[in-house]
Amino acid sequence: MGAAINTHDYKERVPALIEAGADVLCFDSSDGFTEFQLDAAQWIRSAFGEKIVIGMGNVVSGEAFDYLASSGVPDFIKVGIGGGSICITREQKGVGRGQASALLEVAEHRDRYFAEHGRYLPLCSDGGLANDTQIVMALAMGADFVMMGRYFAMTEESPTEKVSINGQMYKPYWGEGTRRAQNWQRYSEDMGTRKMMFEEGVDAFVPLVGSVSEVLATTLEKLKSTMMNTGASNLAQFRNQAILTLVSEQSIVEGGTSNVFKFSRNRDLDEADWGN
Amino acid sequence: MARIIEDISRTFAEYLLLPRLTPRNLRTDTISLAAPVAAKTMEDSHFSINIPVVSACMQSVSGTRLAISLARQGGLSMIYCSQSVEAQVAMVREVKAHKAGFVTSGANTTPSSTLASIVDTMHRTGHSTIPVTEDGTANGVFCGLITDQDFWEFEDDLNNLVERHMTPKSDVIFGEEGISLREANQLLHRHKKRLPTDLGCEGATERVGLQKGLCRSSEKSKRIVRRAEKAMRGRGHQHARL
Repeated sequence: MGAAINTHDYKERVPALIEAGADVLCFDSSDGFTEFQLDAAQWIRSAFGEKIVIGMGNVVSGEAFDYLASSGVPDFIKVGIGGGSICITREQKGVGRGQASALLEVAEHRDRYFAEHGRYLPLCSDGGLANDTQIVMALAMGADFVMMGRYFAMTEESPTEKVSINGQMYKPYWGEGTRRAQNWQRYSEDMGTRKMMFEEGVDAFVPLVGSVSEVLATTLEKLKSTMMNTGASNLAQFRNQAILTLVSEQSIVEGGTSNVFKFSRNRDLDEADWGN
Repeated sequence: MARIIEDISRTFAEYLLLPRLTPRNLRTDTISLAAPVAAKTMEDSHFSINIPVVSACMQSVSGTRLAISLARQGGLSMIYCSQSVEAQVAMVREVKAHKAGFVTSGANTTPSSTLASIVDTMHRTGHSTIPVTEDGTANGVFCGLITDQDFWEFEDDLNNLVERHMTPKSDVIFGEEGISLREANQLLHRHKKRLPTDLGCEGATERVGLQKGLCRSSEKSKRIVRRAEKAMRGRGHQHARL
């Protein structure tokens, strides 16, 4: 059972969440390379010990990983800034990095840190996953697990109401950096003084695709199938023996369907499908 | 002066994996997708997940329903913190209270209901095993079980009452409330029952799906199935379960 936390009201929020039974706490921040996130994490570690799992981040560089890891506090580190489909941090602030480059560099530092200190920090690739193949890539490039928003916003079980638009079912999906998401602070004593001057997210819709068990079944089957191709029986092995190649625009074209005609009744819907 | 790093900022779509040797003994059903979440030394992580997927801490994503569903699949949800402490704590409690591996029965009936209502419930919910309780709710006093094999939809009088056709509690093998998942699994194993997967569980891989114990003696079910099969063949009915 996981719960997100912030660097503002953690002294009140964290004890309450742990008492309610949360096992994993995770800082929800687009930039975790800060002294105040480390201060907050150290406070939690000294108050609640080794048993509570603390996720820190997000980071996109080896420098930031080293800073957090060397404190000995974090359990896992979350990688990614501005890659999310509803996240516009890169446009709004000019901060971020392509998810593959970020993950590859952080994973290299993680492996070095493990070799030197014997402490393995799992990496979570957060954001920038547009389809099943990219989940596979993230796991091959060093992520232990991935965090996704849109993927789950599209399921029956997400907390939003279905909406029918032009005969197609959609679900609302909005970023945590939107005014809509941050509106709750206005009613909260501790957070009431924080003013939002600009948004780092957008408010949108995604097509409804089915239940969590249905979409995951397809995704995981594809992942296992790729693992078969690379001869890996577990994810650690998959990472360790992955060989990747950078592809040219033309090889991407070659990989798609070419010189054939496909007819479908609803082209827009097909293209919006997760995992095509 | 600003420094520019050598590498270009790249995305996942710009890469492809090369195949490596696939060993003869590797099969998709034995591949492990488990992933550590807590930092570890050489040993196993003290907190890990069974599939490498977690849901984002966002209002439009990680609510209680998704958290429960994803946990059932072996993943993990991060309940969002863009809400008051009290509201977030309530959500964590709600998910925690949901007992992993058990489901609350989604279709129930009373002893005095008619078979017609059972047929209707079965068609509507897709459940073929329905617990019978005194008040017809999932939390009512357990009286027995009725399945689609306990009556013949096209032969029995559908005005008959459930109590005439159900397997009464005395013939049902069941666990007491508060039974652990491990004990429930042992109970199922001991009676050589496959796990019922049609009681509102999502996905047939669910380890256990019983609310107040749903395992009947295997001999009896076999007899019922044989009898029903014969009957169906004789009358040329198509029946999904057989």
